[in-house]
Amino acid sequence: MKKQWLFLMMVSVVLLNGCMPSRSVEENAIVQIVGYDVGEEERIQGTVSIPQYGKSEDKQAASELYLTVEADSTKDVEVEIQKQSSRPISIGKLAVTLYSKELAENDLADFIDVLSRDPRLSRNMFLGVVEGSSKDLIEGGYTQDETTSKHLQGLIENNTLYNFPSTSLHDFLYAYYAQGMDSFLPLLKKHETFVELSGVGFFKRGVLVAEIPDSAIFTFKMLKENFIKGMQEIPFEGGVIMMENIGSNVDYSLSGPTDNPQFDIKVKLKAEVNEMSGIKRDASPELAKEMEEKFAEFFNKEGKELISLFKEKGVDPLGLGNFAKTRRGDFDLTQWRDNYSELEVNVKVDVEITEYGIFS
Amino acid sequence: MWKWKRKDKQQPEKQQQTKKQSGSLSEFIQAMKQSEDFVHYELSGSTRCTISYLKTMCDSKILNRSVLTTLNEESLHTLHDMQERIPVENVRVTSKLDLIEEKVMFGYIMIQRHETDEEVVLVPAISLESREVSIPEVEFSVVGPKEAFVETLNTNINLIRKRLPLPQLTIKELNVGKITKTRVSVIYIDGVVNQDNVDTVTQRLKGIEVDQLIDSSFVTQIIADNSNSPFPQLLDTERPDRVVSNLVEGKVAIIVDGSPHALTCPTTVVEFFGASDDYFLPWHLATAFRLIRLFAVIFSVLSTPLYVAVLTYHHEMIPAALMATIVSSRSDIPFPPILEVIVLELTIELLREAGARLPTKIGQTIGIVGGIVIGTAAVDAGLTSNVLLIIVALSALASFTTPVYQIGNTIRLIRFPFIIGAQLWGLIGISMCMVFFIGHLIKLQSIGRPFFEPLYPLRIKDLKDAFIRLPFNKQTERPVLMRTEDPQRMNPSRVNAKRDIDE
Repeated sequence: MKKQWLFLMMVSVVLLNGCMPSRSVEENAIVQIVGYDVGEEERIQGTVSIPQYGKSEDKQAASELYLTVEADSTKDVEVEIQKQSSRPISIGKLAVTLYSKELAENDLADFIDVLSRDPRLSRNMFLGVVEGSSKDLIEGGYTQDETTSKHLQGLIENNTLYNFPSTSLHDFLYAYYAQGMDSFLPLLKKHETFVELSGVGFFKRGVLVAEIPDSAIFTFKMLKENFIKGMQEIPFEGGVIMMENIGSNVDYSLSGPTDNPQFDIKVKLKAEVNEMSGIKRDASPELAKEMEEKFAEFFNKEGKELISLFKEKGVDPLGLGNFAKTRRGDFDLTQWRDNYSELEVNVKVDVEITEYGIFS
Repeated sequence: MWKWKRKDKQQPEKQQQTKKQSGSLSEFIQAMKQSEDFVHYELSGSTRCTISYLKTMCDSKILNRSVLTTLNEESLHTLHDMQERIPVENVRVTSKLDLIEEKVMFGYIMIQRHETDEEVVLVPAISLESREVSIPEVEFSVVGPKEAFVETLNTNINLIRKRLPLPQLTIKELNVGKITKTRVSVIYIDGVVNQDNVDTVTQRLKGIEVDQLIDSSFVTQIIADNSNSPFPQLLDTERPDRVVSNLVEGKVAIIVDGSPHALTCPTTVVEFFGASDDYFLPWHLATAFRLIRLFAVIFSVLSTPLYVAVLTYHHEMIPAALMATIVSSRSDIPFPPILEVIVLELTIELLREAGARLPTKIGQTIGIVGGIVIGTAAVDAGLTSNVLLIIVALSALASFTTPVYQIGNTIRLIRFPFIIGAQLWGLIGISMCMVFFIGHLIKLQSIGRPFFEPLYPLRIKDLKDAFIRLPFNKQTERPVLMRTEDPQRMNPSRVNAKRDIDE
């Protein structure tokens, strides 16, 4: 009897195969970018772009279908979009999610909750805050042979190799849920024909509270993590020097009692000097020495300004509280928050110029 | 519903009737006279006697030059005189009827004093038609020995013995098959082999109940520990050098008369992926090729199921750069991925079957027609996508890399359950199939020894010749699997000793 049951089961498994509802990739609307704006009457406006792949011949053609709906919640956006789409929506390949600045200044907590729960979403997804309307940014159509999502994805990914600190849904959620750490997101701005990474926005929980322009991003990244690329423009004796980073190491150290701690942030920066404009002197080892001092001074000043901005706004994107928590057993989060604005943080940057090109 | 099965059981078990033996020698001769090629006549020269033989089985040179000349020139009056005078080796006098019958059927010449005598002289005059020893065609290797077994048992044993000239090489022979009475030899090296293995093999061979044994693959199927498994549990090879190296490792070989393939056991699954080439190349190159082969097999089994699973359920897994290529090549296809895959896989299987059945010259044409014409036409007609065509062609190619033909057939077929699993539950279905197959492999045995051996049970010592092949000076011990009586191949300290000039 057992064998007959086994046989029947095998046959039914094979035959029931045909009854499975299945949708192949090309029969799905693959959403790769979503943008949220503030809609009318407390609702939210969601915009998605669905790439339309051409028939076999012209594979690279990047036409896109833009759909915009008004809805009450994130999941409702999916439902509303489904009503406008001829094919089922698949959000597994979502690569970029954008929020308008207006929405971010309000509160993103609900959105973040959905993002962190949905198992279909990739943790490598990029989040961004748009200065202006995210609908306009998505519908911009920037290049001939790339979809908007691929363009924005490449834009953010490429910049994280250089001046921009590493960012993704994973990093964002880590900072969001960690104790004594706050998250940050890239700010995007749409110009006439292009999109620009215009700065960094800092969040306190889900609310955008502060931002820095792109000129200060390098200093922020330097304080945040180790990296080996990136360039910074530094004023020097009336002219401007382009400094190229070839290896920056940051080290936090904590001293003093837990209720009144003191932080030392030490940065060791190795750099090359590639371009000097408006400077009348010849390149020489002596000049390099002067530059090193000048650069260190510049970064110390910039770093202090950043720290004081963070203290003023009460955000901690560097994760100093988190650092203290891992070092001190009697760390108390509420006490830390109360004392944060008076926290003593010393920034010390040490610049070493290893090369200044070929000169005779 | 299952009536046909019950009826089968209700049938009374009839006593198996043994072949009716002819009662006396004259009855045997009468029975033989029915055949045209049986010669039976009275010789009236110097020696008066009756001579009978099968002319199709006898060597006429021995008959004419040795037997008839002697009988005609000399006057011999007793059978013992004949035994002494006939200048042929191993002439015997006997009156045992079953022995006489057996020998005459094999081509012995029977001489009687009178037609009614029960005692006879048997003169061996066997003439065997056999193929020349040729180069191996299934397990071809570029370097190394190029001899392959043929259909004659004696030639095959000769090929082995000349490579192993030692008295411990033992050959046990038995007859299997109720009608064919096929000669089957069990070969092993006494003192190296574990006697348990030999006993298991002999016991199973003796227990075979079959009327005809045409090829050694019959033996593989009948004495396998699990006859329902798709995996062959005895390694078959046509290379004498491979058999010899297996014997030296402590394995047991089985050779069947009439089959150009020898079987060796116990074997493990990794042995099926090892080619004899592996031992003819430097160890690191051999290791690399062995790993490539293993990867090819995994690719061959899993690539099309993964295609089905990813395209049907896991769109997230398609890299963004490939998205456009895959989607646009799929967009014209009216079938779901599963149907597309099955159609293309069956096409490849058709091509293979057609190619294997046809003579070589037409077979090549089939390959070209199938590969190029059908392939491009199917893509142009929008029946399959370009991407899948590449995947299927590659996986077919990869399945040809297995050095042993038997396991190649297994690889060919086990991808279909995976494809069905992939369609049902995506990657989970593939994992379930994988769990099933690995569970099956773990349970399998080859004459009582674990089939999945160096991996389960994990025996680190045997891994030195499994996925990687270490150099010969590291292989100083025989595999643990065989539990040999003499585990040491050679003296490791002497192998690794440095021999400098100034010593």
